[in-house]
Amino acid sequence: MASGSGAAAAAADAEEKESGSRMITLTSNEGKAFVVTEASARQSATIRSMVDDGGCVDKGFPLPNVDSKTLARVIQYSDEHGNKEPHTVDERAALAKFDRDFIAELDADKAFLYDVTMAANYLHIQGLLALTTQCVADTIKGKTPEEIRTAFGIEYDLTAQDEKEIKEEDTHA
Amino acid sequence: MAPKTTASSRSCVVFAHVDVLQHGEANEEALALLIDYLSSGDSPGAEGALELATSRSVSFAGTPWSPQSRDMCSNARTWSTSLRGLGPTPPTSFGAPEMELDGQIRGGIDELPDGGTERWVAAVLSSSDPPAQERIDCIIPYLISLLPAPFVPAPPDAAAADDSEDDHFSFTSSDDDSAAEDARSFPSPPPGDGEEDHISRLADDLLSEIISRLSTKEAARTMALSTRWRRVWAKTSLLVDDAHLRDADNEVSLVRAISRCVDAHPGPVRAARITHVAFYHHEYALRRLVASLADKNVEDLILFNRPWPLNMPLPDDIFRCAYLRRLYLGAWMFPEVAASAAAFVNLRELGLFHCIIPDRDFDALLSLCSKLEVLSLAMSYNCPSRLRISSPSLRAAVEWMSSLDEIVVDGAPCLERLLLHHAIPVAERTPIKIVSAPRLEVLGILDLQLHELQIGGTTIRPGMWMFVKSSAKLPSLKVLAIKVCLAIEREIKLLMTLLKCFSHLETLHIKSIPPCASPEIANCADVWESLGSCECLKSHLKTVSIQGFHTERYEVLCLKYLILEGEVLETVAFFCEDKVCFAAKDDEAAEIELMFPKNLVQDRWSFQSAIDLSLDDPFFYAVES
Repeated sequence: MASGSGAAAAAADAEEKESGSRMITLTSNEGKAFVVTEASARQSATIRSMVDDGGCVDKGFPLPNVDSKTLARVIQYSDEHGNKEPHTVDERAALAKFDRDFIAELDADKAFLYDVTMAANYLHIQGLLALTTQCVADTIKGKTPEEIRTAFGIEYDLTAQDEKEIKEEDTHA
Repeated sequence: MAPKTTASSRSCVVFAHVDVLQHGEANEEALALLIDYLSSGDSPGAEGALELATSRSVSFAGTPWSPQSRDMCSNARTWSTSLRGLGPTPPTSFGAPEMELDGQIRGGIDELPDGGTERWVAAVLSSSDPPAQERIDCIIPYLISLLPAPFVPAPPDAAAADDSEDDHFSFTSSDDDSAAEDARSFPSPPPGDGEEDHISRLADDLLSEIISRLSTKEAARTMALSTRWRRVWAKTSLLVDDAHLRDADNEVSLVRAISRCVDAHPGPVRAARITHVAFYHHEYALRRLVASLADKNVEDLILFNRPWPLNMPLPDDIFRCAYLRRLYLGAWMFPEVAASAAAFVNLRELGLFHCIIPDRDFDALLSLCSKLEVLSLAMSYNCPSRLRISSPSLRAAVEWMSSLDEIVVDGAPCLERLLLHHAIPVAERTPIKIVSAPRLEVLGILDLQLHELQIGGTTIRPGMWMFVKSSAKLPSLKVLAIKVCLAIEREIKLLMTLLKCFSHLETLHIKSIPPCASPEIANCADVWESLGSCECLKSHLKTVSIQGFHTERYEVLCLKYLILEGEVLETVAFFCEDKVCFAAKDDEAAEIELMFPKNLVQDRWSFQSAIDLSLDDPFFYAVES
């Protein structure tokens, strides 16, 4: 694409831009390149705005905050949601099933789940962020604070003073 | 087996369930009439219909009418299976109340648009003299069922899960034994086990995002986790939902839990939804709550009082809630509206449910809401006595089961929809006066027996069907839903007049009402024949749906008229009481597959669809297949 010169290349480029069929390269922090469709990449508001601002589509987008393993998983999500638009009841159900399976797999590996959450946040992929944060919230549901601390390995660091304040807030009014 | 059809610009295909055909002797004639029309002239598409009528053994399509039946046409394969599923028993996958999908039982069995609860409400209201308490016990849950969905659903059966909690609400524990609680919430030795704290890698805003997805109580519990979580909870805008705090039946503890939650949080309050409290016994708490919510910049408020009494005053502090974007109020006496108040400047959506507000205050309130887009009035009984819509910003106005003397739309430059539902019959027809609404696109459900439409000062009367002057026309209207008795000459002519008033109408939804007195059934054939055509039928009307279709002769006459005169008509759908049938007029109908209407339509009329501006048509929608 870069070799093309003059009006013909520009027209071809414009045409591709219009049809949204361009390919976009995303590079992980380990330097691994992932080529995705523009529709898939546009799931990310961060990349979307860079593309729309006439960013360097040809050069690709380096993502210094995302490692290859995480990026591959994120792309799996954005491919599914970006490349096909669900029209029928069946297609929507299939997409919902994809989401369920996708998050169930992530839920089994909490550390990876947080990696994907952070990547979704960094890339502004709203649907994926909602999916992962809801998953964490579901884990918190119905647990006592102690159970939550254990589940997430949260270090208990409240001082006696904090405890007193929380209990006051709790019983006040 | 399926009949063949060939392409024709006038081809018209009827789909009907065999049950409908065997509906009874009385309808034989009606159906024959339709068949006659369809098979006459150069309409080869009618072969199918003819075969349908003669053989009686072919079932084309049709399922019991239920919200789930929208799935029936999800793909052609399912559809053709249904073709083979002959006989009176429809394929089970369609009609079953819950259907299997990807191994998962589909939930979301919402009530029918015109469903159980509402019928119950209507029944109670129409009974000669229902006891006041019974009336209210019936109305309030119904009104609450109309409300927008909560941001976070209530935990399933919280009361059963935490029944040890009784009247002691605690952020930090789900147990009311305070010694055990302390031990669990604040352990003396910090957990020293080697588990790595993965979650602390998440930034504050992500933890906030997680907290915002928790119920009120669970979110509050996170502040006892660690200093960081405590800080993040305070930074996360608060969500208060009393459904999350209802661990006990004890109302005192519920009210205390609500206050405590709001008091403990520095704000802002993202949303508060309070629908379970009878505030009559908690007037002080109510005043403090509304004041706190105002101080903490509440953006979204749903506040219902559980009667009695019905005239519980809403605190004045409601006017201090300047950050409100959405407000639903239920069963209150609205405070006097001072014209100078700077309240509600950000309000986009306002619903007054069973509230008492004098006309003067209602008009003043509306003029305060300078950015209001959606206004709804539900079960309002003559106070206000009229709905006067004058607003520079309003896009949708909804009247739901109210009793009003008149509805006036004047000075509503942005109004796109005027939606009416189940007006309570009053002695005379309720005038609906459309003085100025240049952008009005959706109107309904107009009940020809209960409403009297006026456009630009002209009352629309049946006698005007020959000629409608331009000042009485509303060419902006695209979608009209009406309740009409197609057996009565007056209503047929009124319908024709409306088609002339709404000269660019694209979609017409008819709810067919059976005539109550048989002598009224005029010789409708002559009436329809005398009507001629109009601009709307010639070049705009694309979709017609008839609900409550009984295949009576007078209905078929109407259908025949619309199909004959509707030159750009694409889809006709008619819903029988329990069945759904389709007729599609399709130029491409060369093959049996193509006979199936590309866009089946489906009823979706509900309060939620009425206030949803993202829907093109709040009454019906096309099912993509």
